[in-house]
Amino acid sequence: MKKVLVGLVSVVLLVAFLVAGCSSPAPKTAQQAPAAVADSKPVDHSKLPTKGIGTSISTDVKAKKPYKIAIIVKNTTNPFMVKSIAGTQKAAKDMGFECISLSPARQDSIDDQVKIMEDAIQMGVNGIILHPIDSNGIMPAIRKAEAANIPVAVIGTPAAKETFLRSGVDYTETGVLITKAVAELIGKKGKLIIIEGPPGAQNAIERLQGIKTALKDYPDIQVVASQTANFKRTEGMQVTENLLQKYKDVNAIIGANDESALGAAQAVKAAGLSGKVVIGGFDGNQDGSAAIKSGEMAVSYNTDPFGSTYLAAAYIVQFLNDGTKPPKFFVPFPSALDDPIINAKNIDNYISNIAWWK
Amino acid sequence: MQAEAVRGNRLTGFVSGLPPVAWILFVMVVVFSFASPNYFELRNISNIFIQSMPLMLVAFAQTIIVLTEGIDLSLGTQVSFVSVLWILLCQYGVPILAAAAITVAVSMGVGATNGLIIGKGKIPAFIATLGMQYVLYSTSLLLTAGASISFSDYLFQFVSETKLLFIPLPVWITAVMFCLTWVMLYKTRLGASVFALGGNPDAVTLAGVNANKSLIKIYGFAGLLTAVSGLIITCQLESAQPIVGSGWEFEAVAAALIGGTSFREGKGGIGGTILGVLLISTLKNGLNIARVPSLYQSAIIGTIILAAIIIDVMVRRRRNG
Amino acid sequence: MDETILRVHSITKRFPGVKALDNIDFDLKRGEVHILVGENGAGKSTLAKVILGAYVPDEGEIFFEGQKVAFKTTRDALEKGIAAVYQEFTLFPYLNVAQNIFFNREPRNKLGIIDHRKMERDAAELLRSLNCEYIDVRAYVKKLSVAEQQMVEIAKALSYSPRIMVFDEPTATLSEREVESLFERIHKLKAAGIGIIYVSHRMQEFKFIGDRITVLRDGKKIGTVGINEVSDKEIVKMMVGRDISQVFHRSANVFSGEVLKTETLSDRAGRVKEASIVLNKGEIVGLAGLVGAGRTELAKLIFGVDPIGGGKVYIHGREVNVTSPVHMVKCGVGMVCEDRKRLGLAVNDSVAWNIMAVSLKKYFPRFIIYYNKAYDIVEKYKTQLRIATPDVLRKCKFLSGGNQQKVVLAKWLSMDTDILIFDEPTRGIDVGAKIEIYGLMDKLASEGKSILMISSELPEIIGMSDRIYVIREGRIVGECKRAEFSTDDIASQMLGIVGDAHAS
Repeated sequence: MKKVLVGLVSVVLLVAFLVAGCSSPAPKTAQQAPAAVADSKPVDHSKLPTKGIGTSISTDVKAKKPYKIAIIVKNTTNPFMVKSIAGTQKAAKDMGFECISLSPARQDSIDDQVKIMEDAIQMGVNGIILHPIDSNGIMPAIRKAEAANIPVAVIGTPAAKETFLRSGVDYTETGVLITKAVAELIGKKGKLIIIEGPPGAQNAIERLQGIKTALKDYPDIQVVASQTANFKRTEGMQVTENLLQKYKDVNAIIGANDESALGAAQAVKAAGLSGKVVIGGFDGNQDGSAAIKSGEMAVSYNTDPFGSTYLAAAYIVQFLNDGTKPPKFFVPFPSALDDPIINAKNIDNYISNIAWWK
Repeated sequence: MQAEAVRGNRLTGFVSGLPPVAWILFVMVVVFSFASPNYFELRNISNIFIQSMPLMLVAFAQTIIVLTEGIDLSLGTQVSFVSVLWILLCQYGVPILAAAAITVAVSMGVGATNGLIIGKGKIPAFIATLGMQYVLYSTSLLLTAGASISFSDYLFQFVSETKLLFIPLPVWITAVMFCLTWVMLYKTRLGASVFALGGNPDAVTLAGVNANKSLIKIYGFAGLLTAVSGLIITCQLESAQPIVGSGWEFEAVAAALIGGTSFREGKGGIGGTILGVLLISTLKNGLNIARVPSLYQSAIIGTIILAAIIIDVMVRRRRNG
Repeated sequence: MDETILRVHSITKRFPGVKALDNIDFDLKRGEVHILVGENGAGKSTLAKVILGAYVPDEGEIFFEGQKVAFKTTRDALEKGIAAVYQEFTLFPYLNVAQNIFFNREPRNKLGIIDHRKMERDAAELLRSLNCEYIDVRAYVKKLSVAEQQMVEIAKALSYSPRIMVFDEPTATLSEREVESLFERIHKLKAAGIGIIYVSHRMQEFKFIGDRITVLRDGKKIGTVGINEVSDKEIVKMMVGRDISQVFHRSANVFSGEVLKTETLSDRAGRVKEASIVLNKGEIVGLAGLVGAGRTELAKLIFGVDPIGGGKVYIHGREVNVTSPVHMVKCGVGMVCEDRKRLGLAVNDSVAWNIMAVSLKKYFPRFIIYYNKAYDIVEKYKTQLRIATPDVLRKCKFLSGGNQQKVVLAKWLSMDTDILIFDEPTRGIDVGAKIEIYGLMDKLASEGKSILMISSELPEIIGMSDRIYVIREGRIVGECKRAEFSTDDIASQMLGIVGDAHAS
């Protein structure tokens, strides 16, 4: 038995050394920025093929033939993915094409998503709107689609190389805008806690960069803590509870998404600090909107999956009609030009006319 | 594979001797062919085969382990770990084939460690491999900081796109691994000990076999199969994927059971597992092409897997009288 | 031929809380059959295992051909030429016969690839030498009958070309014909100078095969005697330490009314053909026949294990639809199976659980189990049947064969089952426990229970039954009452020598 124990311990140690030895250079390699985020200036909105954002979005583009366009998502449990499908379906109705929605049977599984891409190509679709599960892993499948002359528009997580189009929000921009909004609300000075997204997740990394970039303009705001909650409400609550023990005088909290921000809001309420802490999040989802209406959260960013896929569909239809390409590879949407910040002032209008989750 | 005598006409004997899963598979292909015009095309059939090869290898590994009355829950994360380790080694400048060889060796070591913990440590396979699953899961994520790592090499396209005699290279590789596994199972002492361990573990020791050593070798062999699986999936995705294999271990168990392998008495073999994997892949592909929404897909797949296993058990029972 | 091949000198082996072997001396000569007997827990299996290298003794020495040896594993012993035929099968169900015989010693080429053809040829050769050429060397062992498996087990031991062979109850599952051919084989082995240690409970075999006999009791050696120097009664006395006036005791009894009747009962596989039998209240009915004659199959039909192909079953005069064992238990039928380990007992569960498993619903109809009451019931049966276990929570696999069988019996007694089917109730059980079980059967019948007993041991059937049916090739070929019993008649009916002249 002793020998076994020694053996086990040495195995564990070996693994630990392996991890320790290799983990230091790893982040460098892991954060390979996707090829095309450099030029992310918003496109002039008069040139977009669509008008409005959220559920109020509309277009004049009509499909000349009954094209088949596939929307491929990451899973069917996240409302963001569900509304991406809904956006494409509305686009199909408005523009007159056939929408095929596909999702991996195993949630968030990159190899299943690759298989689905291949299946879609096999079905003879004319275009693909895609939420890639992984920037790198999806590339071979995208190449196959392109080899079959099928335009691929990606939303959210970008692909590792330029494709026909990238739409959806520019995560860096969202970080910048929310930070500015929060900073104005606390009078450009005070103590800030950042609740980060999952380590390694591309969108979370870019969003954090945006937040840090924006903070450079506010030297009086001090970041007292920055910890991860993996985009989850429960973890957001736990992390915030712990931090509030230490920093009772915090002025603002920015969560990397609405869920983690909502967790923070619960912790703030439990600590009896309601109204004293400004909380910002991202997504403008249903619970987030309710929290802004009730004042528990201050601001959020309308990341609008509904409008993003709708816009992507419009570009694909235009291209299929007459070969018109998007003005550039990355068309951020909604961007600063679309007035994406949700706050106490516009929350009623947002909920009744725009909200993507309805 | 073994004795059961074939009576009467050889062809009818062969057809009636097919495992029930073969029939279910046949019926499914017919149904899908009618349900969607794009289904029965060479390109799609080829797709199904290429797509199922990595899982097929993991299912072979799981089958031999299930035959010993064990289970390996770490097979899926082993695949991910292989993917990560291979690309990391390449990034450190190790030549790609040498890196592959090192990775295969490490994966076999991981498998052997499972065998060691289960055999010498007397820890149930379920717990031992669950522990290994967690360790490998976080190791892979730590090594890549959670994200995938892209790497380009001509080898990737070569593996995923080359065809030999109209058959894609991954299928050839899997075929070679099948032959290797078959020989191991039916032509070597190690193979005999696989069936023996599942059938009557106490008697293995009485026969003078070191059961612990056998377990180490068997789990190590499983590590070899998962390593090849990991290499193929890495070629197909052209990147290191820290969580790509999660959940495969269960699909592999399902495939083995559909193929007639049993958790008891060392009954079964890898022949049926091929059909089991093809059944699962065909289902997924067919449901996609027939445009069944993914929320229904899991339920349909689950129902058909259950039905396949129940039919298999019933038919075998009837045949044995 | 008087040379000592093996000498065991003052061996002691302790297990937690028990001295399993206490200072034992034992020796074996070339070309002799040395019988090892003793009650449950007497230490004979432990001694055999020490000789076979499965246990390492705490004290004492073993000399093999004059050389001191210290076996650490069974492999060490095998390499010296000490092979065993175990009571518990050491076969692998999904390996074929040849693979089982040559497991881990398969002939291989340089690449480590097994030469199946040679292996199968050698296996067939071995089986032929045992007159078992009908066993297909390529068949999975799973598909063989228990008796056939036993022959494979023996062939496996022979394949080691042993100098010493240890037989642990080899005939327990064999029919007379197979026993005969086994004895023939053992005589040949003797003639070839192989020393044989023969662990057995079947007294009638001793004179037939043995040269010397060593009796153990409670881990101590009682004595070693030449087989012709003692009578059966003296041996029994040495074993149990008390006088046994009569092994079989069957009190006179009056039978009232049919409790079980089958009418032209057949199965689907053609192993039971139109069997009609009657069992009266308070009666013990024997079902005699060779292994494979359809005895067990008939019992399984009645108990609902196998599907019925034709015919009817009546219980207490009412026709019942035999659907499953569960249904038959509800109808008041219980069965004690031949293969205790697999069918009769959950060996990994406790004594208490096994006893209560079937009757839980009877004692606790309202779902809640009162443990105190349950343990009282269990303790009652433990005392009544004299089940030797330190506590009722002990797992059954740690019990001896006789005690395991008592647990199975207790299970049905706790259910207060009217009709009991005993399939080889004393297989693998020593004389002391056998006598207890016979006594119990007699008591049960006197209390009005009815028993259908299947046995390969003619003396047992003749000794205990009130009436006997003889079954051959699936058909009931004879019936006789206690007064008319004769070993010769029954045996010849079993073998089909007399034909159907006596058939009812």
